[in-house]
Amino acid sequence: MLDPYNYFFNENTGTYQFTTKNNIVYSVAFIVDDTLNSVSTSSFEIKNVYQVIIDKVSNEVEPLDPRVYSTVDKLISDFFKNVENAMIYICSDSDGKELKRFKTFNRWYNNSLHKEIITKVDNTFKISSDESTYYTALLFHIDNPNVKYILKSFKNIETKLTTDN
Amino acid sequence: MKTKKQDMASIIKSVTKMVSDKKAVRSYIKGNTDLKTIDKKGIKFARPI
Repeated sequence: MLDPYNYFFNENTGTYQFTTKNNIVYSVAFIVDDTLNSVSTSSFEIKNVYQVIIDKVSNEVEPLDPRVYSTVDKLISDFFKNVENAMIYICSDSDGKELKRFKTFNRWYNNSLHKEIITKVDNTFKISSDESTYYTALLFHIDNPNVKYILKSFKNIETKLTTDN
Repeated sequence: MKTKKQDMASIIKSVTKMVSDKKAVRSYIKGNTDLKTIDKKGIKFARPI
């Protein structure tokens, strides 16, 4: 992998940012996500779960830049320095671009230098009420002490939707 | 440890909120949504690194 760009936390926006050689600014937002608690059947409180959102600040089309992958890889490996952190990535097929982003995210993981310590579990399900298919991925550190609760809760989403449909 | 029951409606609500939150944050990153709107939706930015 090529050298990552330097990223920093922008206090004003509440997001991490980096600028590419083509002067394209990327923002990476982590938002607190309580979904696993809200779908959990256990009273154990799952903490440190975040939804990650990665996007360019502008709409400019950027030529393929492998250093963006390296930077995302670095950022996510830094995120998992706290082994209790977990991350959820989600999109629905109601927006074709979203699905493309999900595939890009999967490509990042497949080429990641940190696959040995970061586990990714995918979960795809359909919600009949809006006829959309939802693609989700859960990432956690292999040493996460709460993995039992995190995984059970994540799988509960698919199980419940499949069983009750 | 106590267990709680979850119905399909509450799970659908949670999942659709995730997608809705993501759309709102993408819009915020692009400068099309202000922070006040994000706050109103109950979205909390974190600094986990």
